[in-house]
Amino acid sequence: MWLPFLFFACSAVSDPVLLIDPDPSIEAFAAGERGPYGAALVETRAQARVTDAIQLDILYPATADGSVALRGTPVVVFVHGGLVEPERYHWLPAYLATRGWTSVLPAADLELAITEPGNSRVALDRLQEISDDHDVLQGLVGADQPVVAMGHSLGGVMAAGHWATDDDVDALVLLASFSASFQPIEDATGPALALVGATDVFDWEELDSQLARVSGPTDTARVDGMNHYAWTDDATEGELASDGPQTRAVQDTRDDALRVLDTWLDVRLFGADDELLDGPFPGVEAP
Amino acid sequence: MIWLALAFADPVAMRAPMDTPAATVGLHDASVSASLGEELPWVAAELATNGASTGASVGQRWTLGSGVRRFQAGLAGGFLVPLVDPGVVLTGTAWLHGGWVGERGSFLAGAAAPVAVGAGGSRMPLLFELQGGVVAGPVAVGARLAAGPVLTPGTDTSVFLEPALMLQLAP
Repeated sequence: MWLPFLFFACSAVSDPVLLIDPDPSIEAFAAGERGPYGAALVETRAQARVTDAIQLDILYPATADGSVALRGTPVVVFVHGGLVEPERYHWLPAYLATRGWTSVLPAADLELAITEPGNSRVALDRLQEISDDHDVLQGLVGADQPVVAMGHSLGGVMAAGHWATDDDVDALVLLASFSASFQPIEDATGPALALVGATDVFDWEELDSQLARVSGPTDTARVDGMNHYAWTDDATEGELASDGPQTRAVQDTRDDALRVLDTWLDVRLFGADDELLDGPFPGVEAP
Repeated sequence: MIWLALAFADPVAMRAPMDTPAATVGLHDASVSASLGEELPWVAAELATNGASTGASVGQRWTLGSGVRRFQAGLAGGFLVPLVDPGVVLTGTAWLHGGWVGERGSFLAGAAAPVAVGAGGSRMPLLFELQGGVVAGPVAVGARLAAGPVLTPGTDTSVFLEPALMLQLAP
């Protein structure tokens, strides 16, 4: 009899953990630089496929005590890469949280998102429920704010599928990834961005081929000296052995990529001047 | 090697090779099952190992044919309780296995469909299963492997793969 009560407790939203302190001295949102908000993490679970469950990490703009610092935020649904746990990507949604974004990261069983392609959709629904009902996080997500599907590597494939089939998703960001040929991405009219490390072991022709299928605007950027696992924290020796060389400091390459990402989000989703995408973007080649 | 899996509670032990009480522990599902008596139904309790759901089933097993080479068929029904968003889900499972069940061990292959239907939707797996084991004194120890697509209307089709260990009383 005790088991249901134990698991009911597990389905609640955890207490927030502050990952980045707020910095009120930051007044301007410069591309590639953190914003003024703190970043907090809560964990919860979502019921999926009637009888299954998904672990979710939610990162959001926070005050020093982990309270919500900003309500009505835009959303990133982030899908992790194959055999990489979501925690290894926390640096990115935490960064975005300092700039006013909320991110939800669904975990996949055995860390393989391809086995559970519906998880990101379930995660988005659960985030909306929490934003509607939760005492502390109420109003976190803005109903009229953009939703971005983002994923790394294999997770990018899943994010592309979500973007192509869910009208609630406005844009796609692929990190070292491309969609699969069987996905109906022609149906998606929103913008797509592909950010790839220039030293990644990567099929550039396939990326170009897939992006050519997209109806909406597409942008591609190659980050100098960045490899595949520079998008993740704590890359293992085995992962690095299969990867291209990381020829610059990981943080430097991430900073260069974030400069492009921030600018792209401003232009494609918030109406900033298109010319901003012309750069310059140090450390980045934008073909 | 690609691992494919998702979790749900399934009365797996009820379709173990031998007509004896059984327990299974898999990557995503654990279950126990026993007959209530000769000519009486079987009962099973099941739990998704990630705590997503738990449930109970009642069913019947039939052996088709005689001797060590045989078919085994079964039907079970019951309920599941999703534990994240609590509710009640009705379940129905049909299975058919064929193979060899002898005094020293067993090996069966077949298919099972542990369907679940609730107010929040339905789950329709079609699992292809292999299971076998050897008798070791008073018990039979074995392994099983189930794999197949899981259709969930309203969302994308997932893929299930479940390696599991089995323990049964010897006949």
